[in-house]
Amino acid sequence: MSAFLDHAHLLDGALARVAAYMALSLLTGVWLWQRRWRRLLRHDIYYRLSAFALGVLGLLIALSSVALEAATPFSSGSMEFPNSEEVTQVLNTSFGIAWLMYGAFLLMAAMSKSRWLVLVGLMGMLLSMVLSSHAGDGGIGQLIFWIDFFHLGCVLIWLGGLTLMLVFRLSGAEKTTKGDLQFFSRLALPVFMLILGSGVTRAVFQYYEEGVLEQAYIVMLIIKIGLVMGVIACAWQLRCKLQQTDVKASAYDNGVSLEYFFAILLLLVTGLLTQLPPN
Amino acid sequence: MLAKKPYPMKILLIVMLLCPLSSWGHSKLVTTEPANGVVLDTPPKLVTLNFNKPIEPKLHRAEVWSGGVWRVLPSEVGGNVLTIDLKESGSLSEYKIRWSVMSPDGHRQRGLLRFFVK
Repeated sequence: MSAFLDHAHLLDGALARVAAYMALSLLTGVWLWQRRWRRLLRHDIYYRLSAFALGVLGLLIALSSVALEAATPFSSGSMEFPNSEEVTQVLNTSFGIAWLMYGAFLLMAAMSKSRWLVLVGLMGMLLSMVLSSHAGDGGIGQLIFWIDFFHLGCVLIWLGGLTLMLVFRLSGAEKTTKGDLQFFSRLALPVFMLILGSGVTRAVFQYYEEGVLEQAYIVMLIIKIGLVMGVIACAWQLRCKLQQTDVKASAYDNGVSLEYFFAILLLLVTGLLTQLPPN
Repeated sequence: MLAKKPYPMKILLIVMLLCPLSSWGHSKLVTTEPANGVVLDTPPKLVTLNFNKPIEPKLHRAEVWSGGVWRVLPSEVGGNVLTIDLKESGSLSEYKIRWSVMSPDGHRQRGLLRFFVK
């Protein structure tokens, strides 16, 4: 379990990825619901600005954690500020370039009015996230890169749609009919199945590559599987509620909130897993 | 609707849930030349550290313990290999070298290599 303490920047690295994923999922959610209703959302600009702020926060945390480590490569406990040369070095690494790409595409996706530019921005952000992860080590020519790209893309569609749906339901910013909820439910089931399928494929690859896993890593995986089950149980309940003729709005909203609670915990655990050494 | 799925679909779902949805690992040190703890007849000019995957060519560092302080050694990365130049370290009876490299995914690894000269 010492893996949790060995890496001084474990939590900031995880937090950076969670913030970046959230920014991307928010923008994906906006894109999804705008396609559904074929119009701009009522508070479109606030969603985009929130996503932009989250994405920039993630980018800054990711780069600063690596720059801090570059300044003190052997004493992880100390907090010596990096000099300009070390910051430049970080920005010139493949990791730094991937995160700068993320920032540029974030700007495009958050600020553009054209739906095609937004889509290009979202794809670019997704590509940059995979490039800055371990799946991007071998470049875009590797099969694992595209499995990861597909997996993350599906996660963001589901999480983005769910986030916005929860915001609409709780704030009343947009009126969601039973048809809208059924639209998301119909979309979420196959997307979630694809998430599980691509996740299992990645796990099989990893098993052949890594063999026995570190204890801390296994613990986090068990927690993650538990949270996945929590999400599935909530989604199942919501689907059953939607099949009833008389859906009680408050009960449905409670179910969505609970599913989102599990989803956010799942995201945090996933962020931690990307930072832990598997063995 | 999910409850009405055929039996094999349920089995597939359970199998999927039992499998980890994990990230990939980071690059790891595989071998060193000279090996850790070895006793050599003459001091080596170079030390090489071989990793299982490529490491970042820009952010790496190696230092040797000499005269009661850590002294920076020239080092370079080529693909999966970190090469440390010992020519400037002088002749020592015990070499204690600490190294630090970064994977392309931003994760830093560090370690200590120790060997002796007769």
